[in-house]
Amino acid sequence: MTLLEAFQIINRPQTEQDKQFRIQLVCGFTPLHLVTFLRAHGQLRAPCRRVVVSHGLYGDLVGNLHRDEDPASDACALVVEWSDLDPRLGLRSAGGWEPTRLWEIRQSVQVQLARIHDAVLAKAPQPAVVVLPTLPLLPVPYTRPGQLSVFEAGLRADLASFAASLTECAHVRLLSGAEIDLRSAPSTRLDVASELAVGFPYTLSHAEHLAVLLVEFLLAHTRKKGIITDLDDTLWKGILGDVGPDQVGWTLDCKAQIHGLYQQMLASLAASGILLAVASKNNADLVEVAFARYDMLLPRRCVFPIEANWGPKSDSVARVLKVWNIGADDVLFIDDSPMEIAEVQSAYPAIQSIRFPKDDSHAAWELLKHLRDQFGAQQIDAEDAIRLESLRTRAQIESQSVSGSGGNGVEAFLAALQAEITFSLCSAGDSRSFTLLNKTNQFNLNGQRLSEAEWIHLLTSNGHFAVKVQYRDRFGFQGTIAILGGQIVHDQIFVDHWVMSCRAFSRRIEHHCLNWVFQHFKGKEITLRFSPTPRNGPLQEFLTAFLGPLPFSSLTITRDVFQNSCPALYHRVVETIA
Amino acid sequence: MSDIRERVMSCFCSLFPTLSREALQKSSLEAIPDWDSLSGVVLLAMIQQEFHISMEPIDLEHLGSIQSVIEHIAAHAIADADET
Repeated sequence: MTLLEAFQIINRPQTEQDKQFRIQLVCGFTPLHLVTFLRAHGQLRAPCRRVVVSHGLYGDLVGNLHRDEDPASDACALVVEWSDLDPRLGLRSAGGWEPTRLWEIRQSVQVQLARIHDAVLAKAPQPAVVVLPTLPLLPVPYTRPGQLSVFEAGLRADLASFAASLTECAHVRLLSGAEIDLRSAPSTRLDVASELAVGFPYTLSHAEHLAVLLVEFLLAHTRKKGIITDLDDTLWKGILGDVGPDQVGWTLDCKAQIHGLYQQMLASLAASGILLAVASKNNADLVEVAFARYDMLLPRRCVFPIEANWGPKSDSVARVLKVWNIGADDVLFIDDSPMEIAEVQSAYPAIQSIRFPKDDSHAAWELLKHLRDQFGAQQIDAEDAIRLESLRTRAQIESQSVSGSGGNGVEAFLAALQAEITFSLCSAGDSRSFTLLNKTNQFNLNGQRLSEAEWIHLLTSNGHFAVKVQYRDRFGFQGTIAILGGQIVHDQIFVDHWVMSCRAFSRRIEHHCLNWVFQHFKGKEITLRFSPTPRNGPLQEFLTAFLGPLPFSSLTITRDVFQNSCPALYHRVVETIA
Repeated sequence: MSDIRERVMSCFCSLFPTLSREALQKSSLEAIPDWDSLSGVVLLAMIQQEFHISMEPIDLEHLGSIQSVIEHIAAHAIADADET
């Protein structure tokens, strides 16, 4: 992107409805082109938001952190360079590089790192993305540049310790130096003339690379939810039906290590809550035998469902999506066959299809990195690990509720679930609730996404409420499966946010949610800030059952209407809210 | 020349989006509202990227107007074409 293109993007007309996304850029240098590229790339990534960047004073990074020029900012981008740690490490100072000064410079750096650390902690819970020095260290030490000096090794150790401490802060995302190196060659970053002339030290290309990476982490990242993988020459090397379960391979000995690495990655993703399924043209029994091998790196329990049959793969994909109850655009499809990929892609244009590079080791390495990029998360919690199991359980429930017992079908089945629903308040450290609010599409009151700053505001403002709903039944604990958020204004109940995980369908949890709101707030009616979206059909279906045809905006449901139409609710309700 | 004029005007218009094209064309550089040393730095960076020619801030000061900037760039563009 050229500067001209960046300005043209920034200057595009916007509507008054576009919400702002406010970034506080904290640095000690003149931010110049970095601000321009931040705004332009931010605009590209969030076209319905108006990206605004504020910045502080030249030469006062710690002061800028404390000063908080924009208290309403949604996120902070902290860009640290060597001169911020000690001016003698920058080109615009002439404080002396004598060997006798080096220990003092290092002490000064340690003090400054401690100040920055405290200032960053003080900004919690505002999200902060941090970049540590990306420019080359000036030739300050007395050793030759090709040799790592004691001085430089000490500085880098101090930085590494500082970085390790910051990565433990929930509100901080530290950009990876290795990733910056990949995108922006170290020798192309420093613009000496610009630094000396106006105090902006970066080349245009480095400024843009930094801006792109910053924006990737400043703005909300939508994590994909699942992978549908092929088996032959993808999960393992070889054709199962030809060579048998014992002869397909995924090890160095079989010259099939890339398949083993792929299995390893899938197992890791499954443990962090990513759904895995198989779509393979294969004999189902043989597939189960292969998965039962003791040396299989991807445990069988991590995969559900397995579609092993001889029909079109798009049909298998259709069944997987139905079981998972998610959209095609939330899924990756991985297969070694270009023909299968084309067939699935034509049926599901929104699915991201990737050809497994069975003959290209470097491409396999790139695939592993791409999978991490698509599915990476700031943190994972215990509820992520149970996601697949709860889907498996739901499939069982739906199959059993259809057959039913004693001829009473659904009612008898729900009554026998031994289900318990717990309502409790959301807290700032509750990443699961925030993630659920921002990634749920189908049972979503209005499709509105919240920034972290808006989420914190919801949790901490008077008159507002944010409640999480957890569920368990005789099949197991499902974790947090719904979030309700809103406000009470003059005894009127307004629900502004309501999402429910698709894993929770078919159990009348949505009925319990409304019932709880009526009971807890003792209101006679609830105003739901509803808005139809292309994907909230399940929510619309639920509300239509009570209210008939829906309007295109807020609607109100009275207690009488709800109670007259609400089916029997069997679950035990636990409330841990004062 | 008209292509160069158009591209130079794009640079100025993007840097000063609130001003009309006509107002910019009539104005000297220093008389442009919001013109400051950093505007000059950004403009020079844009010109370098768009036209692959290097200019110093002192060059801008001497040129003084958008028309002069256009002529300067056009002259350098012709010189480069002659050298190749």
